[in-house]
Amino acid sequence: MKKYYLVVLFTVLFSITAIAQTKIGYMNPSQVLFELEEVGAIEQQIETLIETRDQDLIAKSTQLQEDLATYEEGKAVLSATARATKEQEFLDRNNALEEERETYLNEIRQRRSQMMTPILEKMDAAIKTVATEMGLDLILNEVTSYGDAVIFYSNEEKLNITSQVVAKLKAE
Amino acid sequence: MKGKMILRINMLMVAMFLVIGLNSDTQAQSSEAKIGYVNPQAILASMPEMKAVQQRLQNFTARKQQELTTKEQAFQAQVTAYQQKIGVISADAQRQEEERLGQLQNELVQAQQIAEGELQDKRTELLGPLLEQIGAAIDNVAETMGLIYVLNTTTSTGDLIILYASDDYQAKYDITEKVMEQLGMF
Repeated sequence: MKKYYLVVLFTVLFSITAIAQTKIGYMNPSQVLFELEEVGAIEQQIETLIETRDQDLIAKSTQLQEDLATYEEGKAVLSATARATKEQEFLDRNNALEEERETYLNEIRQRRSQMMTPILEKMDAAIKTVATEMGLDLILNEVTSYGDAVIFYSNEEKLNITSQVVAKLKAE
Repeated sequence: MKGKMILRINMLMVAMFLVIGLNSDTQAQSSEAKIGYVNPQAILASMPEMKAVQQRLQNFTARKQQELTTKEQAFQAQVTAYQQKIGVISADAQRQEEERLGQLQNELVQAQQIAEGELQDKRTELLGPLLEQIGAAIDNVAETMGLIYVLNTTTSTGDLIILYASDDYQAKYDITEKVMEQLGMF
């Protein structure tokens, strides 16, 4: 008789082990970054950098506007050729200003990316630690950086590991 | 004795039913758990056909760019011509000329938008068949592995959908290389 109970017991144990399903967690990386003071400091530095460069550009742009106004006032006495030359010069100066802004914005984007890299690496490590501790197989992104939801609903709030990842990073 | 025998047989049957029942339940639930994932962009970038596709797209873009530059130069020439004669034409003629140039400028902007649309269509035309091949290979791999879902790892804007996969899970369910094998890429 015991033998049959054992058969049943083994079957149940085997089945419980086998039905262990994929454990999927999820999180919002943007929220994690938003909550980190060091990220705030980087954003502040970047903003200051843009403001400084913009001020320089605004001064050049104001100068261009003033030169253009002076030209408008005196263009009646200029020959058609002189006007065309002058207008081309204004166009070139304007294009140069646009190009300059694009160039330094690119530089600043690269700078931001360099500054963010160690933080993103730390976040990846924290995600891995939390996932391992919770025995999770996969972690999905809850929302894209453009605000599109990847996960609309979960009935397991505890599988949202955002706050655990923030806590891990703040504890470092 | 006979009663005990019947009891044993009944217990055995109960055990067998449990085995069959739980195992079929197990299969159903464990199959639910099989979620694979794939990075189609990585596959696309490694496909040998991509070199030719990229070359054709570059040629197409250069041709469209050249057409636009020609139109832009023609427009600039007309603007310069207008600026040169502005002092010797009547106010009414000036107004008409400026309207005409404004219309030309609108046409130029429109031509740029059309060119962007054509480039997008060309990209779809050239990449479509490759993406279909990848899709079919994903289906085959998923069916062979008994996967219920196959997720994309990354969005077209570069956002990660899968932020983490455990090493074991990655080894079993990242089907990117299997799809490449299915496509005969190695």
